[in-house]
Amino acid sequence: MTQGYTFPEDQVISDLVFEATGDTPAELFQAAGLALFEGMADTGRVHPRIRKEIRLKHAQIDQLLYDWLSELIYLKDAAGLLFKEFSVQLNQTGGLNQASGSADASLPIARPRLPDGGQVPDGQGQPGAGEEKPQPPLETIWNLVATVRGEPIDPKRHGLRADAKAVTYHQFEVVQTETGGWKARVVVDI
Amino acid sequence: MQVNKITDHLWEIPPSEKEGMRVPARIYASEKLMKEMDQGVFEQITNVACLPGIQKYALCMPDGHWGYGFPIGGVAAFSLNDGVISPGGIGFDINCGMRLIRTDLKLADVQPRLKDLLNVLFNKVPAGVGAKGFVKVERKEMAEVMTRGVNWCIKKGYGWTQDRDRIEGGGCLPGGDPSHVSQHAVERGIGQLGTLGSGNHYLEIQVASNENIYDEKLARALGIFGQDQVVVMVHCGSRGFGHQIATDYLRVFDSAMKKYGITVRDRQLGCAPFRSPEGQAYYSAMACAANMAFANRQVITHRIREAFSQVFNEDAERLGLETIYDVAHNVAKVETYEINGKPTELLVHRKGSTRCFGPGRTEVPTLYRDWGQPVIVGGSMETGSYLCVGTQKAETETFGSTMHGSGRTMSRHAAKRMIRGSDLQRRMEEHGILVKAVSMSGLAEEAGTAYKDISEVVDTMDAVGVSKKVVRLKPIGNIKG
Repeated sequence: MTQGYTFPEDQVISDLVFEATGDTPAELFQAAGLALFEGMADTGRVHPRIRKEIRLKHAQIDQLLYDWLSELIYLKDAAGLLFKEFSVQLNQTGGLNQASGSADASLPIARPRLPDGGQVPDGQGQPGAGEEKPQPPLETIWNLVATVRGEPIDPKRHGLRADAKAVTYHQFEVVQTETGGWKARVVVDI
Repeated sequence: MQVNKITDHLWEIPPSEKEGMRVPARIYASEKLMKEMDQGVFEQITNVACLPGIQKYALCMPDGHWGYGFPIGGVAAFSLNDGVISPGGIGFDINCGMRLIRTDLKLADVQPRLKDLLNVLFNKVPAGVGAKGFVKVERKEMAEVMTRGVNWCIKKGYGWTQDRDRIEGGGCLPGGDPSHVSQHAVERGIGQLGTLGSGNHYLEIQVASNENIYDEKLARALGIFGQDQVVVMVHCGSRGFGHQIATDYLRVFDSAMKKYGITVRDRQLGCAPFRSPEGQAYYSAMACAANMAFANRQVITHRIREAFSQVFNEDAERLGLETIYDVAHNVAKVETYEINGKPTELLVHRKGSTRCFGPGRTEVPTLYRDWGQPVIVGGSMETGSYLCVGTQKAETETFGSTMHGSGRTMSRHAAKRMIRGSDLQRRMEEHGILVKAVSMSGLAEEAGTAYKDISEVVDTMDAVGVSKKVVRLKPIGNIKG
């Protein structure tokens, strides 16, 4: 699964929907950022003159994506900028090991990884009688540090489209696929 | 899903149809509109019926289509003590609404200068992505805008004293508390006062012809004399400010619900008890956003008056540019209704729905109290709009609520596949409607064919007796983001 995005058609009546992909969470976030701005303007016409740094953290990766996209929308309005380049670094801190995380059952997040890097298969992984009970994982935090580049919005040059105003939770999901890549679906209020 | 026909214009889904429904769900629609009704509406309105403290019914107006949490066109009233407040029942664009401004000008006066007028308006009322308003608000003044709404505008010279009496709630929702508004919201909103937005927001020049007046006496009472009279309609809201508040509190409620033992069927129905600290914080932030939106439409009115004055070389007062009325169609308000024979305060959520109080109600300004509250219903830019009035029946039937517009029927992609923006612009010009748009793709998305038949929508609520048609308004010029 490579970094990229699509705009599925006819899935929402009044707003903008995109699906972003990446081999890693960082690539996913980069793709989602670009999709957001491509929905607003022709990013090919945006020059990467101005740099902004964004730092965020959250225990859940889908909420982190929500916060990332919300922060980009905030900068678009507060600073009057369109962005076209997104360089994202994502890591996890805390927990049993760097690769595991506590999956909230209510959210469609990846199945936990085992210490050797494998994944817990569906329906398995429960301790039997006499086995040592696993320690509950400590909370892990996803940390995002990103540099984004763009320039002030110019209606004459940028081929403006819709104005993204908010990320919604409608059909919102971040999932790790069976091949290990990452995928997200986002509906944006315009 | 079982849907029972109650009358030719009212349909009901009983609580037995979905586990957790506390009240029936009701949809107002003609048979034709019901056949075309977006399936998401049925799912969403029955989800709304599951929310704690909901009273009587979960309602959807005939312009309904699916939204985030509540459907657009959704109305629900909640007990203050054991009910909830939900941003999904108000919408991201808090106090998105409509303003209608009358003039003494006629089509024959305006037509020869229409292009100039649109050009001047296009410059004076910025629209589209990144648009900045001409009003430079200092940060310390933002608090006053948030708490005083239109009163701040009048103090600064952006309005006439009488404007206040012709706006829902006097242009100021009480209870706004800036301490519950994030810095992000302030920074998004501070430069946007006096801007139109984009999407389905617009500024439209319209004509009231004699043949489109349904009640001449009522029309005159509202300032409409017909004879091809020119009026101006504005559709916009609280811009990035309101959207940020909705974003902030959806996040808060998403985690707060566990604390209060609330589960919802749709994450966008995130809510908190109205009396909880979180609920009260959101309500006060929502009031701030509502006041920003009233102020936004007021500043735009000021710019419209400047534009007309410039083009016609006459004072706006002499041109008769009076506000007829201004309504919110995305808001939650505390209002009194009879429940089990007792007057009871309820929190009424209206999302894509307009308040429509009848004659005698104290919330209706004195100017209109004998007639009922004006209701401004925005149609697509090709089909025109309506001015209606509320009725006393609305208070018992729909918590004083009616439709807000046409309602979309197709996706933006589908609309763009049908026609290009430039072709639509040309087609509209051939039909006598000039359009200036920041985005051609945005224009195509707003083609009339993407919307329901507004007459069918308005006729439905007229037939139910909740709102009465006064005049149909035909567009001649439109500005879009």
